[in-house]
Amino acid sequence: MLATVGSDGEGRMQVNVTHDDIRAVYLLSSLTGNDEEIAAMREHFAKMFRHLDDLSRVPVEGVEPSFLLPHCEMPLRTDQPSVSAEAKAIQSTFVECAEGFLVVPRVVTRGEGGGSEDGEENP
Amino acid sequence: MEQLGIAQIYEAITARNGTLNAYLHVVPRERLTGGEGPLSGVCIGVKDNIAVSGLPLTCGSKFLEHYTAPYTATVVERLTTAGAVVVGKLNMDEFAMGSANTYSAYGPCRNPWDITRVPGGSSGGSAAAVAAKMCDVALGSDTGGSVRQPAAYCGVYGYKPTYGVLSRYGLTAFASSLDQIGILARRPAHIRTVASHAAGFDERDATSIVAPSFSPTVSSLRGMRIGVIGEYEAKMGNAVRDAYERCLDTLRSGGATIVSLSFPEYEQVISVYQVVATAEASANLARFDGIRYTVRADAGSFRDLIAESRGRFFGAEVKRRILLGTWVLSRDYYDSYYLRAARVRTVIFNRWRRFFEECNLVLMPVTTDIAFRLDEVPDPFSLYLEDLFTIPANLTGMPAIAFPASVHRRMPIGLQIMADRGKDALLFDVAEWLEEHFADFTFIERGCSHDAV
Repeated sequence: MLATVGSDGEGRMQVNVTHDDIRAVYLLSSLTGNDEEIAAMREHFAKMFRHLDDLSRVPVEGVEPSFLLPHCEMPLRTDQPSVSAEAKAIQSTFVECAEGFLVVPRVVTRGEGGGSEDGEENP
Repeated sequence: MEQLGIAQIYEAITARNGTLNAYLHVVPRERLTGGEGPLSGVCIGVKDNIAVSGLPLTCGSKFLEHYTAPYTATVVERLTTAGAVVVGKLNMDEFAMGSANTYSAYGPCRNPWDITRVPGGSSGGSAAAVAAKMCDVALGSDTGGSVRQPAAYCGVYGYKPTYGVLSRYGLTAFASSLDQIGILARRPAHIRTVASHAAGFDERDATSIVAPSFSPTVSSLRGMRIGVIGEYEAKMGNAVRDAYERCLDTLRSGGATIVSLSFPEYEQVISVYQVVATAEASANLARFDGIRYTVRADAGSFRDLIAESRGRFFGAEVKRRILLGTWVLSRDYYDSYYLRAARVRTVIFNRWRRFFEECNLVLMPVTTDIAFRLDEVPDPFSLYLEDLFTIPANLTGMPAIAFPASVHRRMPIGLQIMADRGKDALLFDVAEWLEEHFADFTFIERGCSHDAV
């Protein structure tokens, strides 16, 4: 668990940032960092969280969050799957179907022709 | 539209880019491919986080040092189809995170008005190239003001469209609910023309919308209501306030009515932005793992390889933002920070909707002062606070345009106007009206043929 989010008694959030918190967030972020870098980050994040506390000054009771832009009217796409060029190339190698069966090349048997280029009959 | 011409632009690049470091990659002149069409001969510079097939795409980062874009962004594709020519890729803060262009892994870009000063960021290369006449028009990206702030610092126009008007397909994602490609030019009419060719619904961007018309809607300011936000006045430096007040006088003299507005949440925009943008960035930048995209650190295990690659090839500012984003999305912080910020964003959005029930446009500063000196760039935290005036347009998805307004100590000062969603054409109408009637605009043409470069 990262540093606890507390309250200062007036409803404002307060975060106590430690060296271990910073290390934990580095790990979560898949980042490496040396001690010097982590110390600098600790100072930066202490300042950041003090500033972010001002979010608690805006009353948001009953307000819906906006994860994208609120009230954005975006046209809906047609419900048609689109096939990429790469997928089309792969699909072109698929075997065909007919009457519920896969269509396979007919096996050419001796006596039906199919001689080789040099005129010799295939084995 | 008027153009400088390819020869003049290449002369300017040869003469100035060594000093300014605006272009990270210039297309050799003999390899330029120009088409026929309404934008024939228009030279565009493209911020290096927008894909152009066959050209480098570094995003100003060591992580993409050897990466070449395999496809072209929709916006670029539309402009080249209309005849425009891509001249090169422009310097920027790493992954568009910064306000001074000092976080580029390829060295800082400099302001053409005074090379000891920053051009702003993150689209610093775009603004510097336009100001120094190294292209006709530049594309940038604006997540928290990254087109408008450098435009203001470099004395050019910078347009951030309504969210969804310009396709984000081919723009390297930073914070997807805020990112928009923007356009910078020396004249507002040029932006209008380029935007009309670049805009339009794009199947490949899920947030794309049917673009509004860019045709002129008004020819005079008579009857227009321009809002001003009382809380901002105390935050402006003297030179900016002076330009702001003179601009208001000009708008009044043109027949506009000035409407006072109150924005009680004006300071919280920075906190909302910091939480939302970093949360989205931490997810978007997870793809840079040392497996794909050309660079990789040596490490013993698979997990170490990823962490080591990210630790080594991301710059400090990108790490700061990824860490904060991860933090506010973590289980114990999600409700207190991310969810709360998303709610405050709704409050801010509703506030601005109400503003536009009372007025047509809002006049605002872009920055508190002129561009700061390269050796006086504030610490990261103080830099975040500089985005106070530009963030509302991103949080609300509303359009805004920064325009040159004045000169102070031989440096440009910009202001911006913001409109309701879909009213992009109105911004151009008023920007063009101001270009004609606002006295200080003559300096743009003198601009950056300036001694400094």
